[in-house]
Amino acid sequence: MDIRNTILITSFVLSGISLFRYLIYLFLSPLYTFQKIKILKKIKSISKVEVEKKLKVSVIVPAWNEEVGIADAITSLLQNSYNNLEIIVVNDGSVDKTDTAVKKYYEKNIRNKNLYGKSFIYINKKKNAGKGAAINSGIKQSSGDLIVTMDADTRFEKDAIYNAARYFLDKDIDAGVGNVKIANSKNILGIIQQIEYTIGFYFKRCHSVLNCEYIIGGAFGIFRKEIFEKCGFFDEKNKTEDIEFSTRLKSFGLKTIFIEDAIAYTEGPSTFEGLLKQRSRWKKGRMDTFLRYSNLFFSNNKNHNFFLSWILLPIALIGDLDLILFPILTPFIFYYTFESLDYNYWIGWIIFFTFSIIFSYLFGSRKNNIRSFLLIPVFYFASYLLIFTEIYAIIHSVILYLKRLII
Amino acid sequence: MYDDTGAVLGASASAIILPATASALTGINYFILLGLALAVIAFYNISIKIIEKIIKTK
Repeated sequence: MDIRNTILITSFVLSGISLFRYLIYLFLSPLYTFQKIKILKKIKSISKVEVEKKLKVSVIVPAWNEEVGIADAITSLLQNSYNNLEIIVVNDGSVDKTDTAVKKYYEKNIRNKNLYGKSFIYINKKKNAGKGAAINSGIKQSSGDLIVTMDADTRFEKDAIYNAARYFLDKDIDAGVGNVKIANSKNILGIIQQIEYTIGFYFKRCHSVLNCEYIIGGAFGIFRKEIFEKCGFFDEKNKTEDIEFSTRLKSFGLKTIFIEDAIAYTEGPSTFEGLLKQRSRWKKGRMDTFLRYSNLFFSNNKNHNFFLSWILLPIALIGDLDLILFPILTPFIFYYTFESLDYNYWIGWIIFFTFSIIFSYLFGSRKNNIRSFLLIPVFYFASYLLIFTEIYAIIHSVILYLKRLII
Repeated sequence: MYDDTGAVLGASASAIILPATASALTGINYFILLGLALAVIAFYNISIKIIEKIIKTK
């Protein structure tokens, strides 16, 4: 078989798998609406005051060198409409003036002030021990029924905590992930990430419908407190402790959902270098997690979700293989297109791709940024920038893994 | 993204070949097939929105 046929067949197989997944997402994500209605129907008669009485929420804010943004983070929590709230700031051995900023804020805005039922705890760790350890310190000090994790650069919408907490009146739900949006839209990189997050979180609807949400990001995660007794705390040595922990929850067979109306805004990397670093960290964390929980793949264990085990996780791995092959396959496909002078299929795919993103904007969360919506028609081309970062991240992770094996 | 949106995007480029094959097999113009696919997705989403409104008003 010549090289041309090999590449064509490989492209055909990979594109078939990728389209299969894409179509699953496109057709199952809208069904999330019914899952949401079903859960909310159960708790329809319970008022906000009653939800607050039944569920105390502890929000953990790990902060490492966050002198600039920590005050805004606390303010956004104090202004939150949910009153039965415990705010726990953990200074993780910062070397900047985070400690001074928190203490100053406390004196000015918290001490002897009416917090309308909210309370504030400050944990000042002298030595930096990592985000996982910081969150664990907060959880151990907390008294809430629910634990919310957030990043110091995340801002919640006023009703975000109530919108998330009320789902936990349904006793079957163990953990959830909020709807995170990118706040910075000053440069093209920010806008690209805004569109990317909108698609990514729209597809979380599908994960939620199938009960296979295995990534609850640290920017906005919400957990029933007793699950920490059952599954343990965050891994303190893992740099992507959130990915590891949420995958662990799935290995225990817990129910995880996406909460679309619990909206938070976070800062995405504003430089290309920052984006590369972030994606490399995520990719490596995911690879480590997959290796650690390899028993989740093709599992017949009753606790493990069938769709997650047999379809989602294996296809996610194939997606990574696809990324590695991307630099070889794509130039060939472009060559093939230009050689045959038949651009119809390529143009067609761009149209399909563009419209499917437009659908996720129109039929998903209503709080999407209009500026990024207007840029969707050119997103296909901009997405190559993201693909490049993903390719870099996967190669970087594989090299690190191989180095670890050799040494 | 945190999941693997990048992989979805990456794989999408290679998917050019698949609709091409579908068109070649059925003999139907590629853009008609594409328009139909998009119309089905739009109709599906709109139907769900309508059902949602009916359930909510009940």
